[in-house]
Amino acid sequence: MSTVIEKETSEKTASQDLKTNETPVEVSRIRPVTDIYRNEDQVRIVLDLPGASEDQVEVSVHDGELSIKAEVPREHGELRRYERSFRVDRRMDTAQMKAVLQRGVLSLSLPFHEEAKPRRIEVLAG
Amino acid sequence: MVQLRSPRALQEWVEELDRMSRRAEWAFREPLADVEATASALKIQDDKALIQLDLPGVEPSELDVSLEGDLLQIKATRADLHEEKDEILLRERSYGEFAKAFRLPWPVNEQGVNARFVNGVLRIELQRAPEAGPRHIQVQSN
Repeated sequence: MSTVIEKETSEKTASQDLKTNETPVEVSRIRPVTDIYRNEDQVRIVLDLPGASEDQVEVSVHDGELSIKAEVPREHGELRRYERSFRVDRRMDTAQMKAVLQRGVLSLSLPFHEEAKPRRIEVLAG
Repeated sequence: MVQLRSPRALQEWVEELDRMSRRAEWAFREPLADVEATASALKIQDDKALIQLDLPGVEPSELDVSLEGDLLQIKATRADLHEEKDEILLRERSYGEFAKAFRLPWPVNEQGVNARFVNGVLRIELQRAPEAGPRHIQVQSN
């Protein structure tokens, strides 16, 4: 599975960090707490990533799997690794996804493909 | 192109999304996280202390830190992002008021506090107030 491969890759990065840094690095893996909301137009995924800045957050979509990762150095040589993945419905337009990070909260907006949105059809008099 | 959707088709669509939510639930049981996501760190030394608190999503205007002698109090409010038109598929984050108090082993004065709030993390450095040492009292005599 692609997820497993990705996880192994990030483990390697951690061990490299451990070797290059003089101070010991303690890696904490955290599954960020998440809210998911849906309305007619989109699905919003909101994740807590306290301490993270834009350059530390990585959002990717591959084979319908949405993956969120962030590596955040903390006090006393701690490295926080936030990681969470979701299966995304095909009716969502991942190419139009928007990601905003504000005060340690990441908000992902996934709009539905136009064809997937419910529509009201205007009835015209003949 | 205009598409007509029957109520049945709409139901299937919702079910499809429910399935996504179930997958997310299944994902919780994976032993991925090894620490609590909402964490506070407190490090106290002889003459200084460091308090670190995760308050993601809190607006600085909704954050109140107060110090009285050896008691440090932190109050914060987090706004609910759920809008009325939204259906909730998953809700793990907490909202509303939050309060936490720390009693320090020594008193701190105003000059000894340094608080910063960056990327949703509150970091407070506290310096022990210089203690009033033994004073010599001049004894008056006639």
